[in-house]
Amino acid sequence: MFLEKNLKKYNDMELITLLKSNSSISDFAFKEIYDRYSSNVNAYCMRVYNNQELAEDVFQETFIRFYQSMKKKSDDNEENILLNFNIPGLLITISRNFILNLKRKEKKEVVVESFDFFEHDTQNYENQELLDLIKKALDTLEFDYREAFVMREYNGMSYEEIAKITNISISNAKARVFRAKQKIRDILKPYLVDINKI
Amino acid sequence: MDYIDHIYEFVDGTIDPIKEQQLFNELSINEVLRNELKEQITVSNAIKNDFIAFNPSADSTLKIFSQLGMTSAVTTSTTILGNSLIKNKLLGLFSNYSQSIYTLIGTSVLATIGYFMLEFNGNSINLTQNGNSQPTYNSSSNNSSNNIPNSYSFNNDNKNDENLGKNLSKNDTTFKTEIIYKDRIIYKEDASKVKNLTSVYKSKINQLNQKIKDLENNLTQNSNSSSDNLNTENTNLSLAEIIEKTKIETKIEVEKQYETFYHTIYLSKETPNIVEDIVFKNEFITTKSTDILVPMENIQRHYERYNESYFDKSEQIGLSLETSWAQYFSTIEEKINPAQYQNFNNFRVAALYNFNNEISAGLDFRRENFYQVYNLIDKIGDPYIYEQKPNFNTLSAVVRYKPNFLKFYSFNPFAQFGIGGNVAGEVGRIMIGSEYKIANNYKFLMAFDYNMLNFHHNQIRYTSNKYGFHMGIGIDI
Repeated sequence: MFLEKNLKKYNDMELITLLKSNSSISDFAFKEIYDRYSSNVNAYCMRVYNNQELAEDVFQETFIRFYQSMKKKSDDNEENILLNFNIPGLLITISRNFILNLKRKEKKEVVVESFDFFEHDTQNYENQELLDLIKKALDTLEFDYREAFVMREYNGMSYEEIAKITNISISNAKARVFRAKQKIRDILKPYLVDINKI
Repeated sequence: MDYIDHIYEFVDGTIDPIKEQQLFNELSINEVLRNELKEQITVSNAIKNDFIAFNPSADSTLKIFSQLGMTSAVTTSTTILGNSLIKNKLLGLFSNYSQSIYTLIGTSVLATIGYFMLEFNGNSINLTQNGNSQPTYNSSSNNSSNNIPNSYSFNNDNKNDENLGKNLSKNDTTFKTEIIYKDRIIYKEDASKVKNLTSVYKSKINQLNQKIKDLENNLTQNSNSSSDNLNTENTNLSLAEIIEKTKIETKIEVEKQYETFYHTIYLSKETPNIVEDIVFKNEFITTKSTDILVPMENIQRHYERYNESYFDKSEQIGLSLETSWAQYFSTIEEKINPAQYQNFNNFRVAALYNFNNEISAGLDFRRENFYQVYNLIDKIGDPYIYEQKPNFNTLSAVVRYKPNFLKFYSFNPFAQFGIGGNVAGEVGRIMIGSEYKIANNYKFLMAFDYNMLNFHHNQIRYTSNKYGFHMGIGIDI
């Protein structure tokens, strides 16, 4: 408990350094990293990949791969690498790669511009039902738009980080997020009106 | 202009000031745009509350850590405790105060161990009496130099005495001795066994008395056959010396028996059912099974160092004088010092008459201060607050109650009520404390009290209250 309390004060670089060491504290350093970023990675996996079971597998594999890569022998310019290290970015990148690999094995998805699967437009929805709607709306988006939206809205990443991870320009990243928001808005429009009437 | 993008940028937090101003201007006149903003904010808030997305399952966490070969100690907080707000707060609270909590637990454990280490154990002894004028006794050794006495059965030096050897062996620890204080030993006895061994002690005393008679007869007859009855250790002594020695040994044994008897009497006061034989007859103590009368004064004298109240059946009637020094604490914050520092300030003397062991009444004189605060409005309507701490000589009539059922060892708890007055007004007091009997008629006193002075100023009633802690001595005359 004392050790956990102390590790909370460490920044990401210090935790990485501890994790790379062979001491018994490295396990606790990994746990601290897990505590800090597991929710972000989980949100990315759950909302970007529309298969919950596989999303959990991706989540688990992400951290296992992360741990293994940290435990590998260091390069000569490791110090330089660590200075620019971005743990959440690396984790999301690992998750993204796993998801892309899985998607290559799947059938090509159908792009749906709008999808009216709601029967009643006069119903009142509570927050959880709104979330369900958002989730369904996300599922209808293309992967690129969905990914950008989740990174921005769920993971709180900057457009620069999104651009770096997805290997696109910053303006393109911004455009994808806005486009995703527009599509979600169009899908949820009738029901958001009802919510605001409450 | 389509302001939808402005709204997205605004909710996103990336809007520039010019666009923001444009948006606000448009929002003030465009209700549709305002609804659009509300919808975007609603979606944004809903995403922030997407609990399911933000919380990895415990199963996933366990699989990750187990696959990486990490111990359960590392994974406990993440797997079991999850993201519950309350649990995290408890965790944080515990981690912040863990040192204090561990110290408290450790202190409690040590205190409990220490308490049980102070529990008493020992060996009990037997008390019996025979029909002769001298009581029978059990040999016991009371080792007052340490907490645990050595309790022996009766030493039988006479090899011909089969009864003694059989019934009382050194390993025959049928009684328990319980130590309460170093210099006080309380014996617990099995009443049934007391009766069973009465005959044994009777027999022993009879034999010893018979020995003395035989030795005396042999002495007068100048017979050498008495040497067969002598203790082999004393073969070099003359017959007269042997008789004298035997008498002394018998006397010692009798005194030891008295000691046992005293202890039993002491105990019988506490637990009268344990030894059912004990009977008090005026100034004597005896048992039902014997006709031996032990003078009460012998027991009292012998037990001088113990709590005499157990043997003193007479009421403690008479005068008691006390004096004590007190430290007082006002119930409100005092902002000024006393008016003057008198000699014997905060001292108390009391004279009490003891009607019986429980009720006393008398007078209490104190030299003390009271912190007074009162108000006054002058002729032009300005209010004033007066604060003063004058010295008073206060005389009170007091009644003290010392219930017998609260007495334990030398402590005598009491409650005292007093009403009195001084130049300022009436004083009421309540005192709770305890007397501790030091020796004979001397006692040590410690008490807490609450005092209230009732005074008037300009026909308005005020009170001044204070707590006091007293320590002092007293003497019963």
